[in-house]
Amino acid sequence: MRLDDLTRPGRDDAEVPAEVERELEALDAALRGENLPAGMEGLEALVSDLRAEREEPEPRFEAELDAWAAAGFPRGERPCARAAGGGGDGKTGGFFSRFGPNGPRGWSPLAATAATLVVVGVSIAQLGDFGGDEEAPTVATQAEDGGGAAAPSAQETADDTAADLEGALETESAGNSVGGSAAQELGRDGFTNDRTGLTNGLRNQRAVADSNRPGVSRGQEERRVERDVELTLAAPAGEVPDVTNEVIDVAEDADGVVLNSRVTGTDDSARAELELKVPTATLDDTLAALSDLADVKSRTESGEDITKQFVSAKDRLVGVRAERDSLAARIRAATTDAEVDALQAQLAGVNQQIADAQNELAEVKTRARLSDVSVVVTSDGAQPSEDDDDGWSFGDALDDAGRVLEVGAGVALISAAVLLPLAIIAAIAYVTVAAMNRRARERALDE
Amino acid sequence: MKRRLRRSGDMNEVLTAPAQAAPSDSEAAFVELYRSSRDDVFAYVSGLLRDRSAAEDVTAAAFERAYRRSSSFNPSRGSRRAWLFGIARNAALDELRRRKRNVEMTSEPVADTVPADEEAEVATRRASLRQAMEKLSARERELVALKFFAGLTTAEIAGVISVSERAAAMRVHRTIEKLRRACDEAR
Repeated sequence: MRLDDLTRPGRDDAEVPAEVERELEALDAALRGENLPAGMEGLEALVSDLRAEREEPEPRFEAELDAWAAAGFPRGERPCARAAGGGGDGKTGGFFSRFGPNGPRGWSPLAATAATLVVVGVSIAQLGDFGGDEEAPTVATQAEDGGGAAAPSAQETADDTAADLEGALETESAGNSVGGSAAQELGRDGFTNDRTGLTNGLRNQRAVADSNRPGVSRGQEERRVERDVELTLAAPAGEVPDVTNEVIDVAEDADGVVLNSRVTGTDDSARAELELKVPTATLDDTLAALSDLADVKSRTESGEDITKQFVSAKDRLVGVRAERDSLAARIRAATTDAEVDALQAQLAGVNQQIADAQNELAEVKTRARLSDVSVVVTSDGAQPSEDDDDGWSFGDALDDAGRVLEVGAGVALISAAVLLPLAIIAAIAYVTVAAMNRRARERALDE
Repeated sequence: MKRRLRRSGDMNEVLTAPAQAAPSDSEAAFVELYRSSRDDVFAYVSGLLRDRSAAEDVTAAAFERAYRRSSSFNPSRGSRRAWLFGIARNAALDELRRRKRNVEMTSEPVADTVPADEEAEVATRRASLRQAMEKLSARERELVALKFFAGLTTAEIAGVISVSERAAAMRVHRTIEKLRRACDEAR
């Protein structure tokens, strides 16, 4: 069915009128040389006269055309009656001829090359991302006041956060690079961070660094921060004990202590839990060393500002010491035994308060000096070790085949996504050009 | 540089010359199409263009195109002959367009002289017919050429000019009627 048929439904479905059909049948018969029935002599004469007007090719042209046809219509050897025009390229002024000697076919290599380049480029770009979406470990650095509940998960976020925090820290104080380096390291490792939590953590780090720095003046009491870290490492079941021992080694190398450790498991799964105390001053280095032992599945940090508790404990100690000095002076000035006994009893109580205050202050100092680090080494979600690979098994072959199919399907999908619109555009262009060409040809009969 | 072609006085002799290899069905079909349609294509194109030189060029171009595109022939869309005439029509219309873009060529003059051996009545009738043909539009002359010069059936004409068979029949009918009236007026 043609387009004209579709645009004029009904009209062409009707039958040809009988008289017209009879006339055309008679016409065909006359053209075949048959005699027409009586009453159609006029038609017979018309056919005869029109046939007599028919032009016949000259023998010269017939011979040349026959020879050319016998040779298989070789290009450039077409019989040409006119000195100019008429072709030789098989196209006599068609629409396509305006676009070059080869018409639309000349576009095909160019279009194919362009399409191929697009497909290859997109495929390479996509393949570059293959394997890049592996599950990234997450680190949620939380401050005591919370705020780390919603942790962003993109590498860019970590980088942006680190940059923002560096700027923020610079406006607060100068001369401390601990926060900046920590932010850079977190960003570089691809961890996700909570902005507020990380800010507090970096502030805490700076406070700790300040506390270890000599020359901090009185009245500008350094901040004391208690830090707590939970780290989960993933390792194959067979490597969990070794990783556990290495965790202990790292803690001891950092002058830390292992409060307790426990390893449980079977051949297929294993889990170790360790409670460490490590110096806060070198906590970041220690965490970095621990993170190198196995794949980091998660890392959570929290920090509590205990400066107030520290100051309170220290002030209390100063206070009771002053009270003790006062009692001592009063004892020395006492004139009666009874008065001395009473004051000594008070002094004993004050001494006990001094001991308690010292213990409290020491405890606060310890909380600031040593950080709690909980390490879990688990085989859950661990990638199989290369050492465990006994060779290329049937399962490996299946995995590889699946991977190949997956990549192939991906490339095919990407190619289809690119080529389909191009094909649609090309089809529309082809139909449009064909319609324009046809209309232009038909106009040649109308003008 | 145009190579001088070897002439042959007999088309059949050329086309049936011993071949290097047996022709395929497609080639054999094309040879048969060429044999049966060469003069008809020329007559149709000549009737449409009314220029023998241009008709020769277009006829050659049409067969060359058909030969190179013989694989594109689809029997479900019509006869091979209609397909060939469709190609010839496109070539002829391209020639018409090219001619209009360049120099308006004058049609070859219609012969006013009547052969001496022709009957007077026939001579008068044919002179009237030629005058009547001049009154036809290009589309109507094309239908006359397709029907009377090339001898196409109505279905083939429909395929060539891309209309339905009924539309082709009605157009042919109206053209004949117009031609008859014009002939009567010319006498």
